[in-house]
Amino acid sequence: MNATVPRLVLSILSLDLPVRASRERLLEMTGRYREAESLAVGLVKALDAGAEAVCAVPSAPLRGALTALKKPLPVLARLPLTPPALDLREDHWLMREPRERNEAGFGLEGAAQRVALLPAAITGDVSARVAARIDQESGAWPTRSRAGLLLCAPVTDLVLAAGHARALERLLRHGRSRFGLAGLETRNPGWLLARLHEWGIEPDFVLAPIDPLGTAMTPDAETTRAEMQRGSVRLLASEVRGGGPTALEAGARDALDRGAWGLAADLVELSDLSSDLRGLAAMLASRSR
Amino acid sequence: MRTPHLPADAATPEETAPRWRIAVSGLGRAGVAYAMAIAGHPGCQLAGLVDPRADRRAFAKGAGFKVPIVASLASLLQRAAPQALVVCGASSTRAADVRAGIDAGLATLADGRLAETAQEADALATALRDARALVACGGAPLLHPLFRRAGEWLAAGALGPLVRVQTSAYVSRVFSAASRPANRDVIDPMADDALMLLDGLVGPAQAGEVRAQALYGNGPDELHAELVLQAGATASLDLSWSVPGYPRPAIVVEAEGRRGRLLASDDAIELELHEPAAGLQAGAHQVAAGEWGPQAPFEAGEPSMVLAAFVQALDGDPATAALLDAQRGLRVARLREAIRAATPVVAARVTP
Repeated sequence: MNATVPRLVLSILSLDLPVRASRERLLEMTGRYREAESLAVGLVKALDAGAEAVCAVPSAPLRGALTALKKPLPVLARLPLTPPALDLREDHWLMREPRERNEAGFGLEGAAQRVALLPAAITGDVSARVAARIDQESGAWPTRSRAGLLLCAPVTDLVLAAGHARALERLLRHGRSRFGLAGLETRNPGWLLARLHEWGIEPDFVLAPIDPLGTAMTPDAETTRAEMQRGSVRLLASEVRGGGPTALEAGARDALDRGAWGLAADLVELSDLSSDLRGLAAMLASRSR
Repeated sequence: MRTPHLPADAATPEETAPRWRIAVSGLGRAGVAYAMAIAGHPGCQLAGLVDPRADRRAFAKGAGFKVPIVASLASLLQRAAPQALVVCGASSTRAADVRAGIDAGLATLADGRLAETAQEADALATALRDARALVACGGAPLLHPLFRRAGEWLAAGALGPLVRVQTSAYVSRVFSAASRPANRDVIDPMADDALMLLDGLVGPAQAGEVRAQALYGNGPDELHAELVLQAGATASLDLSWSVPGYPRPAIVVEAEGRRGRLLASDDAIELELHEPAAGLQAGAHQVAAGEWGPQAPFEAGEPSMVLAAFVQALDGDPATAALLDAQRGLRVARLREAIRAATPVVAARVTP
């Protein structure tokens, strides 16, 4: 399974989620790729330039782009969905139950996995809620584009903070049964890498912010880099520019030097989509693994 | 190398022992985030979780938190021995929850809002005088490194006497009646952060004329308030949750003084001085975001930053404690109510 983990990923998460970048840059990108057709063109360019997969929220524009492409596009789907408007709610967003009967796990697809999650559902374990949402929100997603599941950071970091190893194990199993690959997004890379090692849990990959200044590397840059050196998890480094102050090439080189398996570069970090991705692909190719 | 430590499991001997046993009251979105932030702070231990709602307690248990999860603070005090309490329950019970924490002798942090009404604020003012431990109130904006820097420059008198201050808080959230949260308007949730920031940067204010627009329901979706600062300068506040282009909430403060002009946001600070002041040369000064490392040891959103500051205040850091001054929370509660009282009744013009 690990053999198919991509090493160069184009992230388009900034089209749907607030990411670490200036507001002007975010607006520029969302404006440029608002239409499915322009997004489709961008995705084709990215694949031609060496990107092996796209990391995305399964949004309507992306579904439109996939339809326009008329060919499979490997997508690491970040799920469950966490639209920005969730911050208007008083309750935690995972407390809302799936709305339709088949969303809660009564369909035929993946029945065995749902049986496996039954004890979790009975006890109210968060993994059952999350799995139901993943099924609900990926229902309309073309099977041929499912390159992998990226469990969103709000879920990963919740169970990480609570020390709930079994939930992570269950969700990774569920993700693999649906998507083939299952990875974890986190905003707390040092914590997660240490815990995965301690718990003996092996996701197919982890996606986390890594940059030379340690801008978002919790608990701190030193600890995170030490955990990266252990090399037991395939880490896709995101936000290698640290939100802007670092050049793309320098950030990417630093992440790979410190043990990252690959790179997940977001649209907001790329000045020129094709040439920047070609540069990153060449950098990765020059390193033997 | 430091070994990461999450208090959900046993600590290793070489780690810093947690100094503060902190409980959380109110297990909504913010409360769960505070629980995460406490669990991930090496100086803290999560002592317990409190919420009167059974579904919220069940959710927290299902998330894996292995601490007492109970319906009342009184029940928690019998089962655990917290030293501090983070209050982030509903606005309607906020002042009572803070009061309960004070009465129990706990250091108490109110997330963003100390009281719902001026009457509650007045009652809490008395309790604050008798508090045996730190009582704090704060939101993330005033703790953001860029706004902290802006506050330091303003406090040092970089601009000289202020002439005019404009504050805007925008976010893109409500674009239809369906997306409008029930029983809420733009004042709640957006006024508190902006008013706390304004108070922290330029001091207390009083409400003047207020204009409001309802776009998608009965009640303001956009609001403009004229304010008068204690020092005499005028200030304005613009709030909107219906403006495109702000997927992330953005607060911008623009201050004009006799010596120059300052524009501060969580993206950057721009300072233009006509003459040297506060140790700064005349001319343009810029500070961009991204020059700092993590603001908290565990990232769980804005509560991480507030919790980290609360721990610094508990540890005796006076500068950080000043940013979490509970008196500011009382002033903002009164000012928010005054703004609401001055807000004209508005009905929706557009109901798509």
